[in-house]
Amino acid sequence: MHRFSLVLTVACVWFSSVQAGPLIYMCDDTGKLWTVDTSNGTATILSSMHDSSDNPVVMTDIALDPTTNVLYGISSDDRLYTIAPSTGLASPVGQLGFVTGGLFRVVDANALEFDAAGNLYAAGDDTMQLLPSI
Amino acid sequence: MQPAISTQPATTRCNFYHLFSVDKSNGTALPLGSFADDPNQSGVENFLSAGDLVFSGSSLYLTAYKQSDFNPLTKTRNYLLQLDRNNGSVLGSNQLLSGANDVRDVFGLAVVNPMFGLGFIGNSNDPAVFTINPSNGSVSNVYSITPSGGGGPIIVPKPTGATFVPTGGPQPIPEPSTLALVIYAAGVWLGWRSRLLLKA
Repeated sequence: MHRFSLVLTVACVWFSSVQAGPLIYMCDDTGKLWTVDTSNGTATILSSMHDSSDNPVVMTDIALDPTTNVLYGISSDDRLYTIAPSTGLASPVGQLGFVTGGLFRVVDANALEFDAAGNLYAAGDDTMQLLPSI
Repeated sequence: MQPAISTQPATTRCNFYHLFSVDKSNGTALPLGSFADDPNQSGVENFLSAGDLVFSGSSLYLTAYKQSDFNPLTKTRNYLLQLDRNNGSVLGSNQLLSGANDVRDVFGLAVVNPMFGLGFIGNSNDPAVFTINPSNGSVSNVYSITPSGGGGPIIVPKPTGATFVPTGGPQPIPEPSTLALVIYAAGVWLGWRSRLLLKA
């Protein structure tokens, strides 16, 4: 009987777990990374995003590369990072922007997305800065 | 060679909103085109403030505000734009509406079939997750985002972005249901009783 109840318990736990809806990652303005159950709004903290010096990193958007399953983010200071979801470690990839006329134009973006082939796109908001390059 | 980044104040600013192609190996972002036209150009609708991008199949969508009715304090009337992925031009737009309520501050979009959004409904300051019909902008299946374990809706912090979780990605640890606990307890009790009876 004890074994039977254990099997039933596991079955019930499994049944309750498969009732969850699709999950999405969510980042917030304090630098936390969450999963959100889209079937009921339940949010679970995965990690607090930080750099290798343990400084918090706030992402303005995140995107998952479907070809590698690597999570990327753009920070509030317009840098591109890769993110380890379980630990929150954010590793810098580079400053978002491009060189033009001998200057580095920073792209102030808060939207990031991959297409199915792994090509990355961003959308910028109201300012782009021209900074002197050395 | 990547030039060094100066910390000096910006020397030039401009007010265009662009779609960029980004090199994921170094962050180089090349502008593909503007999805908001010249703000000084009359008679053309401009869209402001890129909320989030998302692909649904080969179609690219963006949430944004119309410049003509944008209020930085209330941030009402969010729109879902379909963009040309090659040059950022706006192919179509629909206002995001939940019934008669405006949807605002949609800073998170993710497609897990259907399209999901994160934002605020009407005058509520509680972030919500909802589904979006991209063909007409209607929003349904609205749920307040609530931390697991209770505690009510998250008022602060505010969502800033979203994306889909890959297959095999982190899954929530299921909490044993009440039914499962009752069955387990009953089984243990019956087992203990049967042993007592056998001994007797």
